Order: sequence, then C-alpha cells, then structure tokens
Amino acid sequence: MSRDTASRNVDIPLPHTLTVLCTYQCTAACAQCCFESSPKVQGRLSLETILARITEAKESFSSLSLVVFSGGEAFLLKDDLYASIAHSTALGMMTRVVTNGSWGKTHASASSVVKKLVAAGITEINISTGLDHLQWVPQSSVANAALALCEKGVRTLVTVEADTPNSDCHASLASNPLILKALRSGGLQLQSNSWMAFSEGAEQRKRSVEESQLNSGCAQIFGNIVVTPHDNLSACCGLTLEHIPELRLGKNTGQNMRELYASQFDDFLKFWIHVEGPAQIVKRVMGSRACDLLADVTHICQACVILHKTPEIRERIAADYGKYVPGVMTRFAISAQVNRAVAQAAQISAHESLSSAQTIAEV
Amino acid sequence: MSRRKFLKGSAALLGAPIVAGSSARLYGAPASVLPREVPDFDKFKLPLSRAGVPFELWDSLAKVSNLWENVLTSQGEAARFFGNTSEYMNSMGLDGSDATLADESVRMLLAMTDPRVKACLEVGDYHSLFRCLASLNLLEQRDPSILEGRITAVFLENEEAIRKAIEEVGAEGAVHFSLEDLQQSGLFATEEDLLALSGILGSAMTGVDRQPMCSAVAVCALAVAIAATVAAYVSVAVAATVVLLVAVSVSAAVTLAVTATGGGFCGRYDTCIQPDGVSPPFKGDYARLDPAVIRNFDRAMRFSVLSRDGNIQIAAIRELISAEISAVFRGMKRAALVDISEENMPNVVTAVTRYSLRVLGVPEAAEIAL
Repeated sequence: MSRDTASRNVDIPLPHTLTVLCTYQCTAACAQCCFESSPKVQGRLSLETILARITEAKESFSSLSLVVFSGGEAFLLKDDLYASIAHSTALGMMTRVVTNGSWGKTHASASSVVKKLVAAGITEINISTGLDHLQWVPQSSVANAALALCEKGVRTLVTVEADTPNSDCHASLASNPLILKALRSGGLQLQSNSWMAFSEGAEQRKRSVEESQLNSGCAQIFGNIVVTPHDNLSACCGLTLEHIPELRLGKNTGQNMRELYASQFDDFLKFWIHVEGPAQIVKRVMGSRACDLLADVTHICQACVILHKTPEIRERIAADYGKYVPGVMTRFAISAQVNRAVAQAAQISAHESLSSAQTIAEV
Repeated sequence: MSRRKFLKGSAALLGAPIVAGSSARLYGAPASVLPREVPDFDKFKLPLSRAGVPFELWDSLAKVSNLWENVLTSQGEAARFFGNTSEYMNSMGLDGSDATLADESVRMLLAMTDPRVKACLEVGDYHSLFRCLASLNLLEQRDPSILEGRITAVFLENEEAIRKAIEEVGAEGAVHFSLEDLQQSGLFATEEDLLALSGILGSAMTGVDRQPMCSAVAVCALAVAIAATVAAYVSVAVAATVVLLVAVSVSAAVTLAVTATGGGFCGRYDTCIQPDGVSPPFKGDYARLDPAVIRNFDRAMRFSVLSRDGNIQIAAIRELISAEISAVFRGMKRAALVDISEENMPNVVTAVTRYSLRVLGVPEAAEIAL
C-alpha cells in the first residue's frame, strides 16, 4: 500500500442525499441571494441530464435515500420537475423540493400543483420565505401553497429568514389564518433560519445562531452530493458553495460521479470540516486571532467561506495541519463505524418489525 | 406564472438595478453568475498523502471496525476499553487525546461498555440509565429553565397576537378541534381518555378568561387547543436545526418517528414520515427551542438502536414530551395565558403528558414490556 492510497483504506460513508440544483433562475431576485438568482440569470439542467444524474447517483451510491430539488426556483422546470420527482420515486428514493412558494398564487393554482406533486410521489416540500423573499413572493402565495400541501398530507416545512429589528415577518406569518390551519393539521412545521449577508450594506438580522451549531461539524460533506445547474458535482449544498471553488469536485461526464466523490478522500480539509466544522478549525489554528476573523459570523457556511478565502488562515492551516490528522481521522473513523452500526441495527429492526407485522396479518 | 407574465416580469427586471451585484460583494462573485466553464486552478487542498502521518495510522484506521467488534463482543476488551480508554486507543494505534475521548461517538462506545449502563438495561431502569448516560457526558446536563425561559419569552413577545388567537379558538371550538382530530386519525386516545384526564384538570386549571371551565372535556381540549395555537409562534422562533438550504434534520425527523396509527415506531427512525391526518398536540416542536433537548433525544435514540433496546426510545420520547409539556404550561402561566396553581401544576403536566403520549401511541411506563 502506498502513502497515496493509504487514506483510501479508511472506511468512508457513502452519501445519503443527492441535491439537484435544477436552475439558477428564480421568480424572485432577493437582495442577498447566495446565487444572485433572478429571472434573468441563466443556467439550468435539461430533463435528460437531471434524469441521467439521478440514475447515475443511485447506481453509484446504494446508500442514497433522498433527492432534493432546489435552485433558483425549482418549479420553473414545470413538468420536468414532476418527471424528475417521479423518476426518483421509481428508484425508491424520497424526494424534497425547496421553493419560494410563488406557485401558490391562489388556492386553486396551489392545489393543482400539489396534485401533480402527489402523483409524482413527492415526500416533502420546504418553502423559503421572509423579509427578502416577501418582496417578490407574497405571504398569501406561501400560505396557499402550505395549506394545499397539508391538505394532501404532504409534509411541509416553512423556513422564515431571521427578521431585522424593524421587520416582523415571522409574527405576521404565524398569525395568518391559512398557516394556522395548516399547523393544526399537523403536517406543517415552521422554523426560523439563520441568515447571512452576501453584499455590503445589508441590514443586520435579529437572530444569533446557537454557538454549539456554529461550532459543530458539517454533515453535508460526505453526506450530500450536489449537481449544479452548470452540471458540476459539488461536495455540499451550503449557502456559500458557489463562492468556494474547493467545494466544486469537477464536471459531470455521466460516468464519473463516484470518481469525483472519491477525489475528496485525499483532502484532509474535507475530513476536518466534516468532523470539527470550519469555525472550530479557524479557532484551532488561529488562536486569539479567531475572535476577529469570526466576528459577526452567524452561519456555519459563512465560517467556511472565511476559512477558504482568508490568506492568513490558509497559510496557517497548510503549515500546521499534519498534527491534527491523527485525532481528526480517528474521530472520523469511529464516527463512521457508529453510524454504520446504527444504520445496520435500524435496518434489522425494520426487517423484524415488518416480519412481525406480516406474521400478525397472516394470523 | 404564465410564460407571458414571467417574461413581462423578466423584462421589467432588466431595467431594474441588479440588487446583489450592484453592492460590493463580501465573498466575491458566485459561480452561478460566472461563465459556465470556469477553469479550476489553485484549489486549496490539504493532501493526506503529504501530511507526514505515520503509515501505521492508516492501517489502524482501516481496522476501527475490529476495535468496535472486539469491544462489544469481548467482556475482557470492554473492561480494558472502559478502564482506560486513552491507553486502549493508543494501544490500537489510534489517537487517544482528550479531543478524541470527548467525541460523541467514542462516548457512545464507552456507554456501551459501562457496567452501570448494562445493569440499568438488564432491569429496565431507564430513569437511572439516562442519569448514567449523562454522567458519561453522552447526554448533556440540561437546565430545564432554559427551555421554559425561551418558551415564555416567545409567549411574551407575541402576547397580544396569541391572546387574540386563543380567543378565536374558544372553548367550544377547542372541543370540536380536539375530538375531530381524534376521530380523523384513529388514535389510541379516546374521548373517554379526555374525560378521565380532564377530571384531573377540571379542578386544576382555569381558562384564559380566568373563569372555571363549564365542561370537564373542554378543559383538556382547551389546553390542547391553546398549545396548538401558540405552537405557531414558538415554532417560528425555533432556529433552523440545519443551517443549510435544505432544512429538516435527522433530529427533527426523529421527533416525528412515532407512528400514532400503529402504536409502534418506524423501523428506520431517520426516514420516517409522519402519517397523514395525525395531529398530536405535543411532539417535540416546542422542545426545539433548546437544542440540548433535541441533541439528548437524538443521542438516546441512537443509543437505543445500537443497544437493540426499543424501550429506550419509548423512555426518551416520554422524557421529551414531559419536558416539553412542563415547560409549555409553566411558560403559559408565567405569561398569564393560563392560571394554574403551583400545587396543581404537577397534576396538569402529568395529565396532559399522559394524554399526549396516548395520542402519540406511546405506551406509558407501566405498559412497557420488559
């Protein structure tokens, strides 16, 4: 075994999620959008490409259980989106669409969309809203969409951007009669998302993220693989993925997904981010300087882009990383072993439950 | 949106300022607005092959599954691992530093080898089990006042809107809401359950209008309806448990793992889907205000799966629901949304907890088959 291939002997867990960023185009043009999406931004995947990538991903990674469709606004794909969901369902995977809810202009239009989603086998919908989104997509559309989904038993999550000191979007949404009705149905969850700015001059938001979340490892790395509208494969689906070239694993050819995924295995930074998270890495290598470098950080992806784009952090990491390898790789290997054992035990339990249920049914 | 309207909107936008692009970008231009083919050069990498790490480490890492197997199947190995974990790890060629020993996965393995934990599992003493797991730092030592304080803060912040919403629900509507739910979902809890529980609640609680409730059923139903009403405000205040574009985390999924229709649990707790039409009043939504509660719950669920003891899951759900209901009712009292005496508070919490567990299809402690 050579040193080059030695690390590949470490048992790497396979990804459980495939994210398809169908398009960068969006019905909205939010001021602080991570992709700067808008109606005029170009770049989308064809149906043929989407279906091919989903098939290849499932063939490459039997562990895949969820396909997420996002963008941009995934519903701009129209019938192609339903076909993609149906294809994923047929391959035995759950599906989720992340959307701004612009298709819920009326209850009738929302219900029509939901009918097609259900027919395609959709598992879950996430609707993003909040101060920026509401300038383009009215609350009524979000509420119509959420209620129509809940009425058909589709698990729905509405994520609200953190408000500014002067805005009250979440309270307004929470008191919307349609949202209340959807909540009482039990099928809707609301949550507030931590928010980060992408350009200067943005008004600060109220919420500060939990310190423990900010300092935790990133489950996206190795857990998710992402096909971008430019048909690249990315290592994560974070807010800053398109700002960090290092997260772009390479161009999809239709036959190289597993190879691109495996290209991460010789990059210790990926393991380190997975185990400790970017904020913790900066703290470890930068000591007291980390306070300044991470000041005002409200999002783990923000810490990640700072890590990758700050020359002094990169220099220090490159010089010192060797001493962190044994500890981080040990933790990675044991964690992977625990996760595998949990998954295996859960599968056995599921099998036993199924057998038991069948026995009862037969009796 | 029709194609014509969309194009019209697009055309209008072409004349508008490019909002994000016109301001100074904090992290450079995203690839989404760059040419499709961007050459990849000068990517920052930390090659493992050039990390100067002893070759033996890779060999040891490749054999971690052996360590796992040995420790869990051999009493002698388990005793050695539990006795001096750092030394054991080092002897296996692995890192045994404090950072590694503090890792959740290592603590999970440590718990699996702890004689006290094994003793608790043998006799089915899950209360003591959770205390053991906390002493091993696998579960966090949680301060209940944190969850209660955060729930109260949300209530107070939205007091006016919540009062208005509760008034709109009304006692009659509350009864209708609750019983309708029970009928729709085919749950284990019945109208008789409500009656029995409200017997306890009837003397313990008055409604928002500070008047004793006229119907015993209405009292419990009102409690449930109030909880459902204020849930909207609390849930929006919950920070995303996953800080990425996609949101539902394993922990959030775990809280949905109980299938009310079957009275059991989904086999794979990370892929469970809540059944249609089920609306349990308490299912962990409030508890998400304190991430430590969810982290503990998630770890207890994982430990349950690893130790092949499903009763740990039941006990963990009971703990979660009980903690949540206690915090919600104390928060509602502090925000003067309900009026419950300190003397009666434990009864109210117990009654609503029992009711909620039955709605969820979770057996009570005495019903767990050991």
